[in-house]
Amino acid sequence: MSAAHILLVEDDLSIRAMLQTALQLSGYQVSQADSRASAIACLQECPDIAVVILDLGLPPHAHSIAEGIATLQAIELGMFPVKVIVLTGQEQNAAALAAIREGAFDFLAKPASSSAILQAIQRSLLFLQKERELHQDGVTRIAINAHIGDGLKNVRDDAEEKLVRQVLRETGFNVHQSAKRLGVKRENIYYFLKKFGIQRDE
Amino acid sequence: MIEHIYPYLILCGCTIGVVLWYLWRQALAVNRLNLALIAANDEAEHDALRFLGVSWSILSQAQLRGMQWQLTWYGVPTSGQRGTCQGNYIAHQIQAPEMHVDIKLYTSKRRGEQGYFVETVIATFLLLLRTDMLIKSTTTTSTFMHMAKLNLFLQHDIKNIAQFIQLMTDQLEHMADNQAKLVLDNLRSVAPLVRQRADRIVQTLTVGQDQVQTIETVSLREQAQKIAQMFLLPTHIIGDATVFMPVRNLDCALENIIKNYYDDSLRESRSKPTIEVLIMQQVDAVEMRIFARDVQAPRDLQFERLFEPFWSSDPHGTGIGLYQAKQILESCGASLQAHINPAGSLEFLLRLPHKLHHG
Repeated sequence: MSAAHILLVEDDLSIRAMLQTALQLSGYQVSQADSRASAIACLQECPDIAVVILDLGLPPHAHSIAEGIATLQAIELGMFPVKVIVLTGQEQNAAALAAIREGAFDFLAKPASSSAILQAIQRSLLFLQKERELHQDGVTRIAINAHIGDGLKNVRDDAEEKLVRQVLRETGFNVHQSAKRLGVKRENIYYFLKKFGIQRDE
Repeated sequence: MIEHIYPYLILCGCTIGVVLWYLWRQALAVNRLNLALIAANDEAEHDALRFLGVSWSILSQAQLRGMQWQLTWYGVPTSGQRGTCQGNYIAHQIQAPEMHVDIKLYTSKRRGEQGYFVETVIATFLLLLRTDMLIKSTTTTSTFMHMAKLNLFLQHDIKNIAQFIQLMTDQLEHMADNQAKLVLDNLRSVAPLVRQRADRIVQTLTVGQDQVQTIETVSLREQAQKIAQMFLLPTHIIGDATVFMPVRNLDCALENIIKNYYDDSLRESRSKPTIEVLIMQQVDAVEMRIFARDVQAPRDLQFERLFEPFWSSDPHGTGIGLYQAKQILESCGASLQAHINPAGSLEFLLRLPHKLHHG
């Protein structure tokens, strides 16, 4: 567990360097990114990354949470098998709410101690490990934000979309295998692709 | 025959002349009162309440008998009066956010042209009062907006410095003997970056204020390269020159200029641009031109607002950076200008005298 690969997404070079040292001293492998684009590129290049430590105040909007939340959304959309820990100095309540809504696993406000960050990483790795074990038993865990008042159809659609996207990603966009895993006909997969606007490039 | 009406014609002419002379005198008097109101408002520094207090001495010269007002000023109701408040009056209401004025102006019986002249003075008075209230409201709103932006800016950098100190303390406290070299080497390399952050905060808080700093000889090529590296931007630098100036001022100005290209590339999802720097020795100064290679200036660039404080084309921007760069350079005798170069890129021109003062 201690050799896990961590990605630091932080625009401040000094914080990146300090965090990198702290994590390396604890035995983790560390990669760095300073923007949304470089973070996504790094996740695509290194599929073994397990945890992302994300600062919400990223350029070009370093003084708001907009770019950090967009990065979180991009990670969610990319279905990367990672846990995201938000470490941010932005206004705490609004940032925490937005981060949790977009699928962050944990939230730490700056300044956070090394031990708090390391504990959050350990929790993330534990959850990731257990989710992988469940996955081997054929159980896939998906998270959706359901608006209760909107009715069940929207919840069903969201769940369907997430599940289809995840299975397609796991099968390398193989429609035949995806249909088999989901227990549906191939035509249904094509229907979902059209319905949710899913493209291979994603 | 016509000779008989000459006296009447002369009388008519004289009468018209006297009337015109009388109206001209009245208009001059009204004009003087209007100008006096404007001057009193300037003296009151466009403060509506002070203007209200001092305006009566002028209004009383315009055949007004009295003035009575009721105010609700940021939630506090007050009232006041001047002169004799009885008889005919004209009532007006003026409203601005969180400010409300009910005002009654008591007049003598007005006759024809005199009524018109009095109304002109009243209209000027009310216009000035309303303008003062709107200025107050706009200034208050924009001050709060600027404070909020500044707070955001400072919050981000201060929390990062606090985070750095926290991590540094943790590492120094818990490092094993065999980790000491790694930790200290790392600290040695990142501490100057934190110092830069701290300098930026101080520069932002003290922008526009005189500061005494140590001055030293600096290479413009080295400084430009160092700042571009902070943003991981490639550079192509032609020429070099040294100037004798506060190096922290130069760093801060260059950081704000180069960061502008960096942020723009991220906002437009472009790859990081190459920063072109051209350094030329002139007789009495050094010229430094900075632009991003192959990057066109935005089509909707509002050029005239480029150095306006707290204005940004980016809704998330603080609008401080370029204003701060200009202020800092000008405070030590240098200058900063911008233009669109022949290639269509936004280019900054720094003109640095060989020997700059402390600022």
